Amino acid sequence: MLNKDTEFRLDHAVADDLIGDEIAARVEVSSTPATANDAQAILALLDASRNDAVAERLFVGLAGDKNGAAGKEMSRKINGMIAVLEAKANGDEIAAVASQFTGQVAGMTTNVTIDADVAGIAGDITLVQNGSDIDTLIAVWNGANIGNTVTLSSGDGSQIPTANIVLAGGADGIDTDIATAQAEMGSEEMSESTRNALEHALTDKAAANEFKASYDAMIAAIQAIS
Amino acid sequence: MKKSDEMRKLMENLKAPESKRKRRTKAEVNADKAIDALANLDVDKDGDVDKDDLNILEKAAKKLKKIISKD
Repeated sequence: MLNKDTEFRLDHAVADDLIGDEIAARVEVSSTPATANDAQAILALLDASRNDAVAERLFVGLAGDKNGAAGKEMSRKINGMIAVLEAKANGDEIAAVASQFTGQVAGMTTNVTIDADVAGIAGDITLVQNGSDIDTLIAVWNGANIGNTVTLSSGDGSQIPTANIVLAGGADGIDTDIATAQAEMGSEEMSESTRNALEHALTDKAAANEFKASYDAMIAAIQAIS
Repeated sequence: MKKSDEMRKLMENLKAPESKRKRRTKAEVNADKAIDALANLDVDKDGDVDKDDLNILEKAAKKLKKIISKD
């Protein structure tokens, strides 16, 4: 977390309060968003349209090193994190599939269809026969598995199976663009040469170290998005 | 409020258990953005307002107009 002194020095280093605040807000991201909504909540506080200005100001503000390498390294991460958050926020490219059982097992005379209520591989469950009818097996399962319930979508639930009913075919959603954005951003922590350039720009060792700690934590949090 | 302060608050919120989280509505986020844009309005030497700030203010003004027309 950046303290006020470091933020003040950052604003001066990039010679623009708004861009300094934008950069500070981005490196304050220390929690990995678990859902698309969480990623969207983070993005709502940031402004992707400032990416060019962020890159430009970092390039100029850290211009003391060779060929602006420090500015380029930092803007790759500080701007790259936006693309990863956007990839998380836009949801799964391949939708999750719900598990299902269709047909009958021993002891039944007509087909039934039982669907998992929540899509995903966790829905591949087994209703273990115990002499109860299907309605009861489902009711007991649902009572014990509130976040992973199933529903008898069609068929006669009063039948008493003498074999287990296995729901299959569930698959988790796949978010294909996250890994690409993460690779583009890179997972390396701040290099020593960039930390040195930052120390010059902020004219304070402690401020540079504090910024690096937040920056590295942000990279870890963003790279942990799945 | 600075964006970095808002982000710190959001991080605390995201780290909290689901049941204890505070949800901000989209309207609240937009209103905060408009307030932030107004508080930090960039005007160049010709008196022109920064394009990004102007966009945020225009969006907020349109929303406000919608709300007023509904009332």
